[in-house]
Amino acid sequence: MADKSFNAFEMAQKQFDGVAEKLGLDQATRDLLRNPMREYHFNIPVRMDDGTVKVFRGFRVQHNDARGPGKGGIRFHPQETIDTVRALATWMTWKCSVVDIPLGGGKGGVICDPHHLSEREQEGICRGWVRQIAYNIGPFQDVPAPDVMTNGQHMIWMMDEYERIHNGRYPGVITGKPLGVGGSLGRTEATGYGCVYVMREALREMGIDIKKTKAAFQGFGNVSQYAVKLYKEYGGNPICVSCWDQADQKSYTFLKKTGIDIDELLKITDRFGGINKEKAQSAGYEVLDGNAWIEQEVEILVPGALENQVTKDTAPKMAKSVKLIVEGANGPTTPEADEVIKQRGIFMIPDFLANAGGVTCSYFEQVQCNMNYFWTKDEVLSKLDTKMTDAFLKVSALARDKKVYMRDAAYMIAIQKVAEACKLRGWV
Amino acid sequence: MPQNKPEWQVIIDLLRDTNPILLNRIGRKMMNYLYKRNISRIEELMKRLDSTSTDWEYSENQPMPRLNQVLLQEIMDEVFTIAAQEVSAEELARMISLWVKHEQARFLAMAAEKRDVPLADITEAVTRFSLMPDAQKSLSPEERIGVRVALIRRFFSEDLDYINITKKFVTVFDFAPVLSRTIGPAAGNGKLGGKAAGLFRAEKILLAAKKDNIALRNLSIPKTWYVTSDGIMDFLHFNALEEMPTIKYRDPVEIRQEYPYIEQIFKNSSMSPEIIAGLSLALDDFGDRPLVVRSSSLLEDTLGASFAGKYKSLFVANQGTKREKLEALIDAIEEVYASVFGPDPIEYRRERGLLDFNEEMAIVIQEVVGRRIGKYFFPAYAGVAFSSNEFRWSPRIRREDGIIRLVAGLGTRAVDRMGDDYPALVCPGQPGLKVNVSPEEVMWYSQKNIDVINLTTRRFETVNFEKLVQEHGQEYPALPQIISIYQDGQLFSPVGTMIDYDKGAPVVTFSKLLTHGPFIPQIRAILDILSKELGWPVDIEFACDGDIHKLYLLQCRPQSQSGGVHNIPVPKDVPRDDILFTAGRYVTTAQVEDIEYLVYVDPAEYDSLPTMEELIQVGRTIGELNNKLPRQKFILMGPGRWGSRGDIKLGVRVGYSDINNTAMLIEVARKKKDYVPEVSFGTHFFQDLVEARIRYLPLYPDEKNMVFNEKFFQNAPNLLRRILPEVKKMDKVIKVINVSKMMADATVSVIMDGDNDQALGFIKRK
Repeated sequence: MADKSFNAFEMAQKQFDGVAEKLGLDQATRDLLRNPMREYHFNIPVRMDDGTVKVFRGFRVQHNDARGPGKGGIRFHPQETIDTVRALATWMTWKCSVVDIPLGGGKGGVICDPHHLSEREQEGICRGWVRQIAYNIGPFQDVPAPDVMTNGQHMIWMMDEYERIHNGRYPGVITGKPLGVGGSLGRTEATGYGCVYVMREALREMGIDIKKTKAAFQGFGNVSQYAVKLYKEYGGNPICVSCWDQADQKSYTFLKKTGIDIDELLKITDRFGGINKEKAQSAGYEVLDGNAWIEQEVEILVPGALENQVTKDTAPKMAKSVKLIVEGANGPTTPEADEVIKQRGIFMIPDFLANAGGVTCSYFEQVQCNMNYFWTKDEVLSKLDTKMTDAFLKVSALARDKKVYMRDAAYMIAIQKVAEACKLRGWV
Repeated sequence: MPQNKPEWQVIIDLLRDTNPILLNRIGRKMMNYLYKRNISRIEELMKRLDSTSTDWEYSENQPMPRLNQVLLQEIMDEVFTIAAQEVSAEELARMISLWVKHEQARFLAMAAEKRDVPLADITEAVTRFSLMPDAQKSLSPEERIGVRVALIRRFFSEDLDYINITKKFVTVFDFAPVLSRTIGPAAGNGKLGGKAAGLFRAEKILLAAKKDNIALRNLSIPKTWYVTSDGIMDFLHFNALEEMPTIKYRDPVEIRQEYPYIEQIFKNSSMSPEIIAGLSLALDDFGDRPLVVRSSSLLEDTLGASFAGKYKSLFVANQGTKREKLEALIDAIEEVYASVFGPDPIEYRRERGLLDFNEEMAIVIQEVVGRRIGKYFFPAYAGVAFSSNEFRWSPRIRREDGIIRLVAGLGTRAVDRMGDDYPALVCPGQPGLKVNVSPEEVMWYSQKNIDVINLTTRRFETVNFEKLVQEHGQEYPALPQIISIYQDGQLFSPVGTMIDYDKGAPVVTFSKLLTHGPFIPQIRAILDILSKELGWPVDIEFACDGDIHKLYLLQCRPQSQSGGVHNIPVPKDVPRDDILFTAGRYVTTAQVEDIEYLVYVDPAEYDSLPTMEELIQVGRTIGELNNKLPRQKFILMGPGRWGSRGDIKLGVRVGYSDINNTAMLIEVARKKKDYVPEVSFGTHFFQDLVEARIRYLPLYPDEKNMVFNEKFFQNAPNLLRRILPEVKKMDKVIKVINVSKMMADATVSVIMDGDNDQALGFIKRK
């Protein structure tokens, strides 16, 4: 029974095996990329508030750094997730590769639940983590970032400990830092804008004038808000967004066929992306069921908040007019829905390409830190545009040449590039 | 020349002629005094007073013989003779003048002891006593206790436990300031009610502890006036509403129908000139300060009967002309009076067999703690604190670490459960352990609105906190202690007092208040001392006017009343076959009963699901069941961490909206290989669970002596397909069991005994 059960790492390996087969990779390369290059497991003794010492388990998985220093989050999590961490480290390698940023993949964490720890104790864990691995991470080795249950504060404690050990200032050792201590401008906009940069390029290739399109967005958080904004600036017509209503404990779709006025909508939106129903209604929005976004007569769908939104049940509801899906969220489409999309010939920009704006901006943070010179927001965003556009063009060219689905093409290009780097280095 | 009489002899001779009764009392005191000094001749004398010792025919069952008056007089004379021989003249003079002095204060003892002395007389007696020079010495120690006890009984409570504890901390002088602010029918003999009694006692206990505890140094009670409990009778009489007290015996439906009408009758009635004059005096004393009019009934706030939220507490802005202020105050009191005849408190009394008690309603008029900021008036922060923590979010938190519900502004938002807004939950024993950890969680579960008194509209209002800070941030005292700034995905505590609101949004976190300054030590000291002296966990209300060193105590009562949850031990007589599970770790006090459905996610089956989609489907199905099953009539049981984020294998991925109708959330931690998975304590939506009173319990079935009736869950008929026909392939993973259908009218009960860290879930048969 146990061997059948869902295991994220086995799934990542299976996915890799499929692409490796298509790419015809040799056995050594497959062996190298199927498993992480290195895994560090270590103890972190921490003096607790009550004077006792508790030992936490920390680790770092470095899946592959052939293309550059590792990149990936540090999560605080319960015991049994090491396979999940291995899977995430693997996906980071592919994600950095697909947008062609010179970074590898990593992931790490500590077995702990911060709900049971004071801030001082959490600081002890962060500093302890760095002490154990200070010579195996670094701006030119492996660069951690925030992840589940960690945030900018944890990153600063870690950076500070690293700098103490190495006696200098190395803000590039870690990303996700607040502005003023090595953070980068443009991070809030990065993912949403990134989605629209690749959307613009896709439409151009498809010969569709963005100004004549309508789009529906799922969610109204950071990703959708900025995506809607830029899409509108490009002349597109966003007609609906959906969002969660805290009071009703359900989601709604807000539709205005003549087009959303983003500034007007933001004025009646709370900090969590919740839109005030009554005010929206009086501003001329139709308030529909939370799943109605997918049924709209639009050319473009942007699932931008939750996973598993486009499923075998909802995919058939997509209007005939739909020509393009841009996956702003992680994993919004199930494999069964992928089949529907393929049959209908809808063009798909897969999540790990479409929402790579975030990781690209992390890379920019690291670059700026290493130079100790920080760009303006416009500079960050224009460099982001260049990167995303370039990455998209390469993936879509491959999809066309090899006649494969975009999701497959993206994986193929990502894995191919990593394999090439390993080859050039003479590792395999 | 005759020898000069000693001074004491002069006094005695004088008394013999002028006040023989007093002389007799002094004689008795002298006898006791000599007896205490072990003077043997006195013992012999006292034997002579015992008539039974000389009467051979006396038996216990008949009245004892009476000694004649002459004999008594002889004995008294002899007492003074012995005294003159055994004790120095100076000592005797000192003792006798002290006893005469005690006599001067006798009026107080008499006034206090008598049951029906009117309020006016006793107030006068207490005031007169307080103004006496050397008043403290003018009562003997035993009389001091007697007067104290009599006054406690007269004004606060006849409950012996209350008197026993309170008398240790109170002096007669403590009553003068209370009575000088007490309004009531002058000829009446009402009390000040439960709320006043609780606060009075707490204040005195804390006052006594002040000198040894630096944290209590700046603790005070807001200025308070009282209307005695018979004020309501006076009101009914004055308005010819005498039939009101019998309303309680009417049909409940009728009471409910009529109540709005009664409320209006009350609000359109008037008060007797005597009470109005008293209230007018109170208003002069309060000035322009907003007031809160609190109910303080005789039944309220006594151990065992909870009236939490049953009677009204109303805010009065206290602005405008004197006449307007008086009208508003009277209106509020009348509304509180009407609440005695409301359907909910009557029903509550009926259920508890308290209907025949002659309920009276005293009123506590307290000034609102706070400051004027713009057109608003409110405290910088306020809240409620409990000495026993029944909502633990971490195994490191012990029950005795307590819990605080803390809000910016008026404490109403902490007392009530809002549903869509949240107070900060703080554990005073472990302030470092936070319920919410990530900046997003902290933001989501932060207070969004603030309760204030609008001095312009003269109304209690709820306003948006962020807007208020934008308008009046500079005037808001202690704001840097209360907020963090959200910027760029991070929360920052203000550094110093300079806050740049353009940089980001202010979020109520109390980040600095909880880590710096006296607040946590203050609350801990209050809870520790009160619960220790009273012998049970307490629930207090507090507020701070903006000076973070000062704290005001607003209310104190037994904690068992606030939530209405009493600890009940787990039943011992449940047949083994009817036991569903037992628990022995992290148990809080609660009872979950009349449960019809169990929704059980089988841990092994969940773990063996082969795809991500199926794992997600489990969460979705739970969400659908949550919408279909009767609200609060089902329990959700599942593996590990409900609402797991990051790794779906650790627990069913649900949001709060997928579980919000359940009565209880159970996490089953089955041993895996060599470790037991961690449970979540519901932390992913902990504050929602608290606000909705959804109970939480972790089970460790593989631990020693634990029962987990797996067979029951595996073999019981599964209704999943019947309820959700469209859900396929989930039968093995999700079991929906209707216990009431399975076994004629049976239900499931879960008794959680927090005192003994034990819980039992079982089938309760009718």
